Amino acid sequence: MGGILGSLLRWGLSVAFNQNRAGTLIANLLGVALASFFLVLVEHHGSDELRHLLLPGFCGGLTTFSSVALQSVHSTGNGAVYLVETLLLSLLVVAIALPVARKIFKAA
Amino acid sequence: MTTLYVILGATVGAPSRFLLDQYLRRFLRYPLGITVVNVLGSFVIGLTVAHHGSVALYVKAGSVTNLQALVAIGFAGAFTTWSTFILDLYLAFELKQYKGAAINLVLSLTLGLTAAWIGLQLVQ
Repeated sequence: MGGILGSLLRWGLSVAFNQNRAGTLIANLLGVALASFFLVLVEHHGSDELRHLLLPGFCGGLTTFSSVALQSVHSTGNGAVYLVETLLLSLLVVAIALPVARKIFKAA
Repeated sequence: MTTLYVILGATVGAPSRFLLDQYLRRFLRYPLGITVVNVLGSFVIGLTVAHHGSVALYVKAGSVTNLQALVAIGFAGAFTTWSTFILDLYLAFELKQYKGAAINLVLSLTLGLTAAWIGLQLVQ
């Protein structure tokens, strides 16, 4: 259920940006940020069902590895730049989102 | 109509990822279930491209074939995941499991890209 909603949002984003690369990048970064928050959320008060719906479901469906791999090897140039950009920005997002989420839920 | 194919692909893709990951984690020392899933999915998406000859073609809503909506955007998109990959990397790093993180990063990228490339070559 979560996987379907996530996939539809990912597809909607790539249509909205009318460009696969930007859409996939936004979907992946958004998914990584949300996954960081959800991870902390379910650590504090979560059932297994909620965890499965949000994490492997919604965030797993929203983000995608295959498009990144494909665009890195098959594109009109700069595939490597796209790959490194996606990777570094994603790690940056986790490094910010995870500590922030932990602070918020600790305070709550 | 395209939406329906995306939904159909995702309905199969997301649970397949979850089940395969759960299954593989029993045999692997490092949490590399998602790595395997991502490599397989990258191969599959490579197979879907050559029909139009260009990745850029299938992003415009009107020019997505039903097969691409089903297999590339729906199935391979939902089967593979970026968020779990990044979280696995980051959490392994936090736990000072540098070796596990490095293995995951290197295997995912080299094998994933190679798999997508092989998929592409097969259909072109």
